[in-house]
Amino acid sequence: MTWPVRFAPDDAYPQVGELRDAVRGRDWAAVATIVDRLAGADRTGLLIDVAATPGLAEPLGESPAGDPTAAALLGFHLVEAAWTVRTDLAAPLVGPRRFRAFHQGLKEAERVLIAGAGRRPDDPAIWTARLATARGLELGQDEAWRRYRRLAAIDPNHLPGQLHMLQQVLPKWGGTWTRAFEFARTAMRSQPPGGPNAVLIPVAHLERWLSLAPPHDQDYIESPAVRQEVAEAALWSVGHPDFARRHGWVGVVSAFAVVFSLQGDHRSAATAFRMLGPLANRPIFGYLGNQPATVVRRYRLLALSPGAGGLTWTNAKGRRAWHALRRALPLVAGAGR
Amino acid sequence: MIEQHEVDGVPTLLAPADGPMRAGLVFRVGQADETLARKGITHLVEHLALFSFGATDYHYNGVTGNAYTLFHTQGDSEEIATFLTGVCASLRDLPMTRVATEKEILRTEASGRGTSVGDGLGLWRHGARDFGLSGYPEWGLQSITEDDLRSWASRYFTRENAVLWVVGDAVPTGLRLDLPAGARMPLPQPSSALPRTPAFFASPSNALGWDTVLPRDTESAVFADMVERRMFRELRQEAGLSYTVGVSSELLTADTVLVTAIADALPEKQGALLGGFVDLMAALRVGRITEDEVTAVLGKRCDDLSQAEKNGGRLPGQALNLLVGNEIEQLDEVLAQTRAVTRDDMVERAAEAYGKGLLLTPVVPGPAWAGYAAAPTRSEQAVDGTAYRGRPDGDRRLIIGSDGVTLADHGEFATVRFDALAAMLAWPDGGRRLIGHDAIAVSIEPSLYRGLSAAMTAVDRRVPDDLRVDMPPRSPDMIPSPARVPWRRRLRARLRVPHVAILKLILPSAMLSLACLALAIGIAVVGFTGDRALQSVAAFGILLVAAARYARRARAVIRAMR
Repeated sequence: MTWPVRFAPDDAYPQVGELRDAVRGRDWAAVATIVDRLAGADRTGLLIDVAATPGLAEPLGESPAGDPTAAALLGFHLVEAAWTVRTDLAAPLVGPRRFRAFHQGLKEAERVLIAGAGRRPDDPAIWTARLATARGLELGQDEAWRRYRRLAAIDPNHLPGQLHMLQQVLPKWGGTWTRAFEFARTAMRSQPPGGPNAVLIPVAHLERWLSLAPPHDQDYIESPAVRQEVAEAALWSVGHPDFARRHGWVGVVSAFAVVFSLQGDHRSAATAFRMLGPLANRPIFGYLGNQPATVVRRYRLLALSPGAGGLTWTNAKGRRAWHALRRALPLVAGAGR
Repeated sequence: MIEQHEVDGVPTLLAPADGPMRAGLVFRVGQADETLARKGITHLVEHLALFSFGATDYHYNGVTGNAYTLFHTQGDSEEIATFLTGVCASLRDLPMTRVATEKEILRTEASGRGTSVGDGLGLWRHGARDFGLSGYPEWGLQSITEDDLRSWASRYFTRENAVLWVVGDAVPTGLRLDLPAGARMPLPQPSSALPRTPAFFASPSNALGWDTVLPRDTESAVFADMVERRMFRELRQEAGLSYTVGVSSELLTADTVLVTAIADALPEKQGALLGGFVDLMAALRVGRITEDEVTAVLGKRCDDLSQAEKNGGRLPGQALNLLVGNEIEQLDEVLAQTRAVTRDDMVERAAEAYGKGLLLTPVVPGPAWAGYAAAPTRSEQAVDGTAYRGRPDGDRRLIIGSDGVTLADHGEFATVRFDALAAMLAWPDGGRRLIGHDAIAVSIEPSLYRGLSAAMTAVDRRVPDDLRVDMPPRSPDMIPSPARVPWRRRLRARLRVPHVAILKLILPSAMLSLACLALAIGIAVVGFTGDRALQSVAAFGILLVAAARYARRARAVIRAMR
């Protein structure tokens, strides 16, 4: 299958490239115009996508003092840079030198963001970025919740912030599974159907799946309760006629595609893959392996091939055996998990 | 309207007010005038002066502050006259028979009090001198002699060093303030232990504290009100992080004030309280202050001032003002100045306040993430001298030189120089604790260092008597003795490799390498004998590929671990 896989946000959202060029050209008026076309979570999503570009610290540092958009962009950019240094390995595998550099980068980001929040306390993008710094700097659950409440006071359904907060309430960052699922469910229900926030449900289940050792992970993701909840979440969001392709929709649909594929529900996954076309979200497909592009191709092929359900290793039993074999060998199983 | 009078040479402020008659006699002496090694002498004098009223039914009290000592009372004109005349008589001739008992009472009082957040801030801002002394126990009590008390009283509790204030219609007739002659004592110059501000320190406490140094003027007073208003709104009403918030001001020198803010919080909310306060300060620093806010604060302040004028509440503050050499401020002057404060004044004051701030928080590690510098807990340099190795921890060394002592612990120093020594506590068992002017302390426990006992006499000889504090004997379990550390734990500490790495990377890759080696030898042997070589090569190939993949992964992970 030679279908292309497009991870770059530019392919899904044309304004990403536009904004990036404006920042590189230090054209702050154009930056403001592009960003002001969007509001709320769309604006935050755009800023996050652009800030992930390496090498923006220099032009952003030259922005006029007190520009809230530039502060948020620089904050996100420094957070992203810090996390690149840290790598997404599990905490015990990250060495002390890397951790120091990671914290140093986050402190730098936090200082930019504190001043930004001082000037514009009603900018949800700044509070979203401050959720990321609070988590990385391990400022504690109470401080993260304070920041989330500040964000929720501005926009109660701010998905980019909710994705960060979901990470914060996971056990790996000091939370519990109960709290994580409670958070995801509350966030889903507090929005009318058709919104993207139900994506927190498949993401929470993916995190739970990732935390379990084989074969329990496969048993978990295929359990009727999980299937039912994910299906409900899909109907509430991507499967709803009001679902709009706003900024960030690729990530939302990708999450459902990943969970349906894992569950062997290739028919539902096919719907998601058809929506996506060549597009895909790298971090979401990264849950399934170190080479997200290969993962996308494999699952897309499975989902979209006629009669794919008949392939032996796609049914639950065959796949469980396959996964058990893979994980029995430490060679292939991701040590990074 | 505040009237100025004089009673027996003591300047007197008089203001009529609602409610009962009150009066206070305030002296310009307090803990900040003491030394660490003789701390508690002012408090002891205050207690001795009040002793004779122990059995009466007056409403009276004594307060020993940082820079002043106050005796105040409430009642009719005659009671007030009797009380104040009596206090002055006691100060002239202290009841020395009571010294031992009052020392005991003071120790009991201290054990029930604990230190406040404000005291902790003082210690970290000023060190173990002047305005930092309020953060220390009254270690001097034991060593204070009757002669010390007499000379202290005759130096500070004098007619020239006192101001009387009376809230009522007239100065009580029959009031005699028979105080010895002396001189007005200037305020001690505040020392600093903070090389960089804004600074923070982490210390166990149930509250967050912050202080800053500002000019003594109306703008600073309004700014303090504004901080309090914001703390109440943002930390208590909106976020529910704190219950009690408060801001207070205290004279530091004749023209600066120390503004202190305190907010309490439950232990599980301390992190959020810190975050909320950092944000509150950041908003002030960048100047997000509205005209409406300033107008509201000014309005309330003017109301409060008028109210205070009515009930005599402005009088004690004005008495202190007079005592440090400033002019009395009448209400209409203060109101006019207050009304003239603008938003721009507040923006300017906020930036200055932030820049000089010191933050206390129980959260560890503190707000270095927010751009606050950690207040120094270590010294920059060690002294030259003889080093004594610690036991059991050989990496810890105590250096004793002619200039001072240094505790060197894994590359970090705590140094106390003899020329900057605030006090040395000495226990009969040989334990010593030296505290420097910068509040950095070195504990010397002879049992914890090899060959130290002989060197201790040299240290004792270098410390003058007036800096030495002899402490009561410690119970045996309080005297430290070298602990034994099992060798296995010491070895593991030396290796410093995470468990996961050994389990998931080093062990499997070592096993794979061994298997490869074994196969290679097998192939070589089989090759020489000449049969079944082909199958072995296939197996070897598979294993080799696996080993290579694993090695690549292990290398990436190990590199990430550095």
